[in-house]
Amino acid sequence: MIYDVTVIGGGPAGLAAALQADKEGAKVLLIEREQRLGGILKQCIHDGFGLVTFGERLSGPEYCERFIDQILDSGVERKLLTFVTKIVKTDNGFLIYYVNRSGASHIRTKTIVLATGCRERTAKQVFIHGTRPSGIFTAGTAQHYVNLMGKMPARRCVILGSGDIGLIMARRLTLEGAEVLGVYEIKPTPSGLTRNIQQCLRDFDIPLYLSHTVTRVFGDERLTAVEVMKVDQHMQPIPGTEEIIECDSLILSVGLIPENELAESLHVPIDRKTKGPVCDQQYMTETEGVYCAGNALHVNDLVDYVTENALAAGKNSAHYEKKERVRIPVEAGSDISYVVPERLDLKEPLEHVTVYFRAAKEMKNVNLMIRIGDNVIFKKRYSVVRPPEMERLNIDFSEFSLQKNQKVEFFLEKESSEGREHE
Amino acid sequence: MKEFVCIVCPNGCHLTADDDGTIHNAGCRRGVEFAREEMTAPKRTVCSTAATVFADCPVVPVRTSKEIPKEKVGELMQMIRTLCVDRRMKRGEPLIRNLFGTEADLIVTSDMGYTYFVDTEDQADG
Repeated sequence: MIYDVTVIGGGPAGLAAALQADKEGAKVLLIEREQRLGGILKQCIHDGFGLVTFGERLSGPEYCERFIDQILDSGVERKLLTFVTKIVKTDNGFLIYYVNRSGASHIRTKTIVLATGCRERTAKQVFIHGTRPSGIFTAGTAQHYVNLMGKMPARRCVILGSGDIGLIMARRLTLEGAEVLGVYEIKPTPSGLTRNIQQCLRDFDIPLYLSHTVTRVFGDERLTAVEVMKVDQHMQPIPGTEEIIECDSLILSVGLIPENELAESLHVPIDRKTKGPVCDQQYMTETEGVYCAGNALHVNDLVDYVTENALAAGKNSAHYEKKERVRIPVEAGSDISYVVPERLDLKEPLEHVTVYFRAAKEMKNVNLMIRIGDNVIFKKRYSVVRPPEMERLNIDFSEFSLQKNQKVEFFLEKESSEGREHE
Repeated sequence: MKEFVCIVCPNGCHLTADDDGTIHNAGCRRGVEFAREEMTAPKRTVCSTAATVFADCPVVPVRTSKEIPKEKVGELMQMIRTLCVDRRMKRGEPLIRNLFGTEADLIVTSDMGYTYFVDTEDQADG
């Protein structure tokens, strides 16, 4: 027996990909390492999910359970508490090795959808000096304690980094009676969505210190204090600005990185900018038959976009056929930090290509331009673009008679500089 | 002139309100409504967890079915702290009805009746 599609990861991306592949008539297996489907949404009890998908402001559990309900009524086979250990490419697909309660085994599949999500950066990855006391958590770990286990990990805490999960946890811990002394962000601008700065910090008078970072931690068994410092424009601490803050917890919200250990083991090329696999408009990676969806592909700020991209990846994986491909690069030019997809396959439909991009810095009154060779083929004005807020476009590339050897470049240009074209 | 950040959707529009109540910079109609409410009677959705008697889910996520007055948030958190859920509730079921006479309910947002293991094999076992 051979599956048409095997989806690895049962979070929002995996659920949508498996469901859609099943609807397209494929024989689908969904593998999840935890005992419950839903991924990180299980612990995201705050609302705001599903505005695009359902037109409602749902909590994370409600959002994922709507998909789980459909999965239970579908033909999707599920293996929970199952951990994939190895993937081997064969002539007509892949062998997926796994361990679970029944022991070690393997299955055969024609295609794979990688939906393994992302991981939080940890204290070690941001080089905090000092002792190694308990009381230093990532925001996601703190969220797991409070929202799934019903335990309070902090009484008096400092939050490093202004990512969305950190902001959400500032509010959550405050509501549960903890004292959040401040959110410290090394960059001059916040990392999280503006509305979260408003509803999670300002609503509760929690101060946000930009261009500040935690430089040292103190404490033997438990954290007793942290040292914070101002930083200069190169994000280097300014001597003389040290301040000691007594606290029992330091919560880190310092970024997310796509989880691609399995992709790397298959030698799937990774985009240095997104840290996810390079993919084409079908969400197929550079390895035939391997697709990628959700935060494993690039870190999204809205689950609705994860669902959108995963539905497409699931559909495409169900209709996979081995064939010749002509891929041209889609490049992130000036002031764009990344563009997904990174390739266009000229042998696949080009009519409705969804493109996600992020600006490299906050800019006002800019034009997004798309260039093929010397020709600007698309222009859209934005009153403001911000790195934390991903932008989405739908573009018909079929009308530009794209050729191999060409490349597509996205870049941002200040509106006022338009006149220069005529110089 | 007053300034607000709209929290209705992820766009987070920076709204301004003139002294006569005219709202500027709203990307949609909901933003105008939000700014009006912020000036007169601000409201918020509250999301939290309630304790249960079940070892496999010690807490269950809850939220208000619609927004409640912002000044009642603390009082609601106190009420939630006294709750102890002793039966398996379904997603959307109300725990407290008609909060503060606002027609908002406190609802459970995760299906506790959910079979913990929803493996295909386990489902076949019953």
